[in-house]
Amino acid sequence: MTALIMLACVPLVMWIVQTVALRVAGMPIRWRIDARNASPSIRNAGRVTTQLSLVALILLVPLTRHRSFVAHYAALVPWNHTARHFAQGSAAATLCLTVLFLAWIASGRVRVELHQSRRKWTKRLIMLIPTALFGAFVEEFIFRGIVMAELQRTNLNPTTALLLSAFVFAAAHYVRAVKRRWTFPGHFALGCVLCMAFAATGSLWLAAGIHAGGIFMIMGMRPFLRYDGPAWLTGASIFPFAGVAGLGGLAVLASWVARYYPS
Amino acid sequence: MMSLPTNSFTGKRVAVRSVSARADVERALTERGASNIQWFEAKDDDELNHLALQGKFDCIVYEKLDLMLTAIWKGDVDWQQWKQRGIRVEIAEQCGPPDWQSMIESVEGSYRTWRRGERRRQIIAAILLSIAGLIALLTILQATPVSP
Repeated sequence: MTALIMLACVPLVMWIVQTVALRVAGMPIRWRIDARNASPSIRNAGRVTTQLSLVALILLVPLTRHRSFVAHYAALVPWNHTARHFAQGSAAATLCLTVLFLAWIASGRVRVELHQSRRKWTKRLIMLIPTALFGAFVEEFIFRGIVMAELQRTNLNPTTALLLSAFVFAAAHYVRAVKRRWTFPGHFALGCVLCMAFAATGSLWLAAGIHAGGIFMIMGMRPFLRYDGPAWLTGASIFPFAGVAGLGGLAVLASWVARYYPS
Repeated sequence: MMSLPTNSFTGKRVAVRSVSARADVERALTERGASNIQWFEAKDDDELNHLALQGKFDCIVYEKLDLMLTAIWKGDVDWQQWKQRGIRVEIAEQCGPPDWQSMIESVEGSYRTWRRGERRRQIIAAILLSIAGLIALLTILQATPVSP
């Protein structure tokens, strides 16, 4: 449980750093973690704190189990035949999102239109693969490798552990103040699929593959697509999985995991 | 040569959507007393609409009629709302009062150009997405166990 307590401390650390940054800038304290309308330095302080806290968590958790860093994570991403699950997961997520995007373009629910400066989208495309890999592995190490693995070690039944892990994964995306809250069910459903992938294979490769494939497609298409909605059908912005069609896609992914990776 | 109908922009908050003749538009506006000017590009059409509806501008100047029409085709100008809120719009490059025929030709030409561009973008996106989808499908099929 030490790891879960450490994870719960991350929002507290984020809030303390935000409070200090706001006070230094002579701004009033905010009770939520909310960098909106704050200066870029305060926003950057928040981002850096989040990333450092999560990396610190990843580095410290093996110590709480008296294992070396390498031994701990090598068990979660073993370099054996299961490594190919990463490619399979990426391919499945890519295929799923490709079908959704094609359907929305064909039906006029999404417009193909550049809405970022050339400098910004070029930088994003250059950083696309590192971003997808970093985002996927950091989140998988934390939410499946730490949260779900910890819950599996308790007396909870496997389904409860899976649902609870998915809930923590979804809730973590709303610790900061966000524009949209209706996307929560989408995050929860995505969490369920990723937890299923981890539970079925016992390694993080498949979950990380699905996660990385999703980030790759969503962030890769983001500068070029604009959603005309309705949002309940198509989702919005970086949340195409939050609409009804996206939830359907996640259901297909879940059944694919259950069919081809029986635990 | 820019021909802005309004004689004075002194003290006005002006948004300008320009594409190529920024220097000419700026000169024409400055000569008419404009000092508070915010510039927008094609990618910012939605932001311009958003800010206009928030009442951030007294006047919106489009370099050409086509730029405004394209923003309308894209759905980035809530024209009815602009009218209701009394947002003033001016076209900088206007040679004289338009007759019906030239107005229809302008609108039709603008729409045709926009549709052609949109179709081209859709085709490119569809090709790239299809390639990505087919590679993904191939990867999955190769991983699927063959039944004995």
